[in-house]
Amino acid sequence: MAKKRHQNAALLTLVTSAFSLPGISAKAEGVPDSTSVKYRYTSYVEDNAPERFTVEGDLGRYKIQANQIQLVQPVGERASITFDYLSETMSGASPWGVKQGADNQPELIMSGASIKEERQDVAVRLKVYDKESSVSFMGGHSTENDYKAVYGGLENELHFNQKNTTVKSGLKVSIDRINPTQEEGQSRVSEEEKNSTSYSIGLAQVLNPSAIVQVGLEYAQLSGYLTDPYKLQDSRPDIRKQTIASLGYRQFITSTDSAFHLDYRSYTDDWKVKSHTINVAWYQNFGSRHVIVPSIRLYSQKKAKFYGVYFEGGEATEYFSSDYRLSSYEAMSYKLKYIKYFDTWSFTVAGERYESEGSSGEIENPALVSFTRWTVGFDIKFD
Amino acid sequence: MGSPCKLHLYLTQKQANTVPQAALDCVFALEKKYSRYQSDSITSIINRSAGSGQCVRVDSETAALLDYANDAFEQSDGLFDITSGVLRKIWDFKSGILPSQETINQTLTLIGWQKIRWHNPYIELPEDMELDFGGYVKEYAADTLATFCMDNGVTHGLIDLGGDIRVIGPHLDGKPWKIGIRNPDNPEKALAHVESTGGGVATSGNYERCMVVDGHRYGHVFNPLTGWPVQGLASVTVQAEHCLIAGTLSTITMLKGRPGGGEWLQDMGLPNLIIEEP
Repeated sequence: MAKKRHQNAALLTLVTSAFSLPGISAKAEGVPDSTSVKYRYTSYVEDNAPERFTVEGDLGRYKIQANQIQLVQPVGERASITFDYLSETMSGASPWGVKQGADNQPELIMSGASIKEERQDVAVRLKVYDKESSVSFMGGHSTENDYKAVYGGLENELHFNQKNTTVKSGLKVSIDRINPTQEEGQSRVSEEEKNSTSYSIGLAQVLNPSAIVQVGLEYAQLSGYLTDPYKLQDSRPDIRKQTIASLGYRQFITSTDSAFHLDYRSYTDDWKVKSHTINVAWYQNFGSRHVIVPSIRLYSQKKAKFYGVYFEGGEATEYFSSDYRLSSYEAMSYKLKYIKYFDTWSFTVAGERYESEGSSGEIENPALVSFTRWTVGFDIKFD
Repeated sequence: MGSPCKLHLYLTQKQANTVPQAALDCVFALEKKYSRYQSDSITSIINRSAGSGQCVRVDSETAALLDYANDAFEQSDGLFDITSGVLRKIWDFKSGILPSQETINQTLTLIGWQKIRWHNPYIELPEDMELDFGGYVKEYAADTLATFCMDNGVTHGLIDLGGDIRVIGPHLDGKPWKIGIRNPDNPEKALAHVESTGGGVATSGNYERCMVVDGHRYGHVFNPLTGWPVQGLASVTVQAEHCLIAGTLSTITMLKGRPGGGEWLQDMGLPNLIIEEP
C-alpha cells in the first residue's frame, strides 16, 4: 500500500467533523467541546423619585453598573466546570418609607444620596454528563459591606424518549448574614441571619419537530430575618413559603427563519403576594450572522397581606410594611436585543425599558420604580 | 446492517457477560435509528416530511452526521451526496435495461444536498427528495462500536460490519489482524491483505451488483451529478484512524473514478489500495 505522512485540508475537515460525532469522540451529549468565555456589562438606571411626592431625601435613585464574566471549561470527556464572577457597583438613594400626607396623599421619604455599595459574587459549577443524564454541583459566595451569602445546589437532568423528553430537578440552599450599616437617627438591627431552601422540578417536551413545551414547579422556603432593615416601618414574618409554576412554549418557524417564545410564570406565597408574568419574545434570524430579538414582559402583582401604603407609628398589627415591592402593581417592560455572530465569537447588545404603576383601585406607592437597562457583551469560543 | 457482521473481541469473563449483547444492541439501535426501511427511523421521519414545509428537529447525533455529510459534500465537490439514493429506483439491475436519459434527468432534479435546508438542528427537504444515511452510517457504526468496547475496557479486537472494519487493538499476543481485500473479479478470493493493530479499513467496490448491457458493465455506484454509474475503478480500500473516514475517502475516490480519483486519494497521505477496472 502506498503511504504518505502529510495530511491535506480535505482530510483535516472530515476528521474534525467526525470528532463531533458521539460514537467517535465518546463524549456524552451536551458536554462543551471547548473553552468558552462570556462577558457582559450592564448599566441599570432607575428613574428619579417623583418630586411632588418626595418630602425627604435625595431624588436620584439607584444606578447599578455590573460586570459579569463566565468561563466554561471542559474537564475530560464527561464533565465541565463553570466559573461565574459578578462585580456590581450601586449608588444612589433608596426609598426609606412612605408617610401619610395632606389629603391622605402618600409622601415618600428617600435616603440620602450617600449610599454607595459594591457586591461581588463568585460561583463555581461542576457538571458531570452521562449518555442520558447530567448532574451539576454548584456553590457560591456573595459579599456586600452589609450582606454576605453562601449558597450551594444540586441539579439533575434526565433525558428520555430519544431525548425528546427532559426532566430536570434541583435543590438550592442559601445562608445569608445581614449586617446593616448604622446611621444616625435610625435604630437598625446589628446582625441577623436568613436562610432559604428551594426545590424545583421541570419537564421539557419536544411536541413536534418545530415546537417545544416546558413546564416547571418550584417551592422555596425562606426563614430568619426577612424584614428590610433599611425601611422605616417594616416588620415581616420570619418565614415565607413561595410557590412558582411556569409554562414555556417555543415555536420554530421555518418560512421566516424565526422562533417565537412564550413564557408564563405564576407566583404565590404565604404572605398572600400573588403575581403573574407573561413574556413574549420573537427571535428573528437574518442569515446565520444576525439575530434580532424584540420582547415584551407584562407583570401583575397583588399586595402582601400586611402591606399598607403608609403606617403612622404605634401599629397594633404584628407585621407591616410599606415596601413598594409588596404592593399591588402592574409593570411592563420592552426589550430589544441584537446578536451578531462572527466565526468564533459573538457580540450582544440589548436595551430594556421597564415601567410600573399601582393597580387600579389602590393608592399607588410613590416608590414604584421604572428603569432603563443596557447590556453589551461578547461570547468567545476557543477551539 | 444488510450484510454479515462479525465481532472478534478478546474479553475477560466479566466483560463477556455484558459487552457482546450491549455491543449488538448498540448496532441494532443505530440500524433502527437510520434505516430507510423502518417507518419510525429518523431517516423515514425526515423523508416523510419532504415537501410539507415543516422542518424536522433532529437529535445531536443525527445533527453531527448531517454536518459530516455537508462537509463531505463540499470536500468532494458534490460527489458525496446523501440525497442521491433515489438513483437506485431507476437503475434496475435485474432488468438488464438501461434507464432512459430522460428518466435520469428527471431523477437528477431530486438530487443535490445544496437543495436541502439544513440549519442545525432543523432540516427541511423539498418535495420528493430523500436522505439516505446508508452511505456512511455502517462505517460510523463500526467506530461507535469500537468506542463502546474501548469504554468498557476492551483493548483487543476487530469489528467487521459487512466489510467496514474497525480494529480496536491487536491480537492478545500483539500480532496485527490480517484483513483480506476482495478480488473484484472473484469476490470470494482475497487479492491482497492489509495488516492492522488499530484503526479503520473500508472498501468501496463497484462489483457487488452490476449489469452488462451491450458488452458494457454498469456498477452500482452512481455519480450524483450525472446519474450514471461511475467508471474506471473496481475497488478502493483506505486505511485511516476511523472507519468513517476510511469509508468516506474510499467512496469519494470511487466516485471520482479514473482519472482523478487515485490522484486525489494519494494526496490524503493514507495507506490505500486502488484496483482499476480492466
